[in-house]
Amino acid sequence: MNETGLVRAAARGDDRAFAALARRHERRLYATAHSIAGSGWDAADAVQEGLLEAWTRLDTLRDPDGFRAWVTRIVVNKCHDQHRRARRLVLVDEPPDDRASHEWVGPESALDLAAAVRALDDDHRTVVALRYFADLKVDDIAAILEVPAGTVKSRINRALGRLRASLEPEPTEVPR
Amino acid sequence: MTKCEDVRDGLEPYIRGESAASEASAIADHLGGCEPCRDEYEAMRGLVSGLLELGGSYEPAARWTPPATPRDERAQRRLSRAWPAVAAAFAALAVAASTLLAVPALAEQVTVLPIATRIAALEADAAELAATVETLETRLALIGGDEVTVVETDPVLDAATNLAVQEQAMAFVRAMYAADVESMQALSTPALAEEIAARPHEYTRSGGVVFGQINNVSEAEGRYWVFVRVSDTVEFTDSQYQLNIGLERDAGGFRVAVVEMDA
Repeated sequence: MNETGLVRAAARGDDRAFAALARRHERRLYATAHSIAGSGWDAADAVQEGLLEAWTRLDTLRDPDGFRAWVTRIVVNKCHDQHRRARRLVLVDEPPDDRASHEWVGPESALDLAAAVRALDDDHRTVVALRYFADLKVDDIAAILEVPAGTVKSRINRALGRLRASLEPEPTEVPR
Repeated sequence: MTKCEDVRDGLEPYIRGESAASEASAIADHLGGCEPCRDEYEAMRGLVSGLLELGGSYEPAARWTPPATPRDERAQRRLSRAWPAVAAAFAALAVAASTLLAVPALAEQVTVLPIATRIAALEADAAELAATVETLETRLALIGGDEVTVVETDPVLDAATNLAVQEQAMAFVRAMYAADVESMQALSTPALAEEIAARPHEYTRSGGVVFGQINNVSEAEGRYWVFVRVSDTVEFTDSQYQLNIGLERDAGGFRVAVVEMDA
């Protein structure tokens, strides 16, 4: 069934259709949340809480074609909620091992790029996550971040420039 | 003539296929004649496809499983019943956190806090689960001669309508497995009958079918939906899958308008 059909079926109460939607989107949602939240377990929580909220509120989604942008916005808000909560906590123990919250299924050659994305500052990392991990249009990203589309475009271009700069091999000194 | 700087600013949406047609053709023209911009384009394209691939590179350990309770009730209960437990956990945490903030030396010694927090959170989760777990109501019914489990998922339409739609849907499935195109067409709307005539092999099955479950009929915008879970030996060995069947009412009763195969 196509995505719109699944969204309609899920909105009618078909939980298996919703599970299929979740399966379809959870990798990209997790990658997006991981990039924004900065930790695997926080990302996993944000995705689970976000999907739960999407599941309970699916009947409020007016345009079934907009499901991806809608559920991404919910998960991003969960990441921001966590961030606000985390500021009230005092961490006195090591956080749990990040790697157990996901399995890396991409090629090894992409690990450098993943590290370069992690090294971006918050604004640029967020826009990269929404544009490429969540695969959203500029207007949808602008709506989620509540900034003008022009700002999103310029952040994307700047982020891409920084990623390229950090991936370029260091110039080596030639001995004379 | 488009300047190199403008072209480079517009490369990202161009690569994603989101540029306006006029802009896209201006960029394509420019790239045809400007080697440095073409190199830039190639580099950018590689980066963009790498980033898109990165989004699918994390397989999260936790998978979504829907809670067992109907959605509307769950939303209400989460607010009304789980709240005291969550509030208590947060209050305890706030006290602990402020104590530790006030006495930094203590913070080093009290390494137990995350475990205490986790226990409080688990207790809150358990309270929430206890409040929301409900038995899914099922009953056995004889529909058109087959005994089948009926899952009470939706508020039932009137019983006669519900049964008539379920019977029609199951009769259609039986005709599919009998590869009886004429019967399928007789049970369908004219549009679906035409579609079946054009592509009969997409609708017919051979072999036996066992009805597993059927749910109460839901009605939306004049279409009556029912989901039928069946087991057969056709799609895969002993496969189980679901047919989502949408019916419409006409003067002669209900007619199947849509059949979708689902996992």
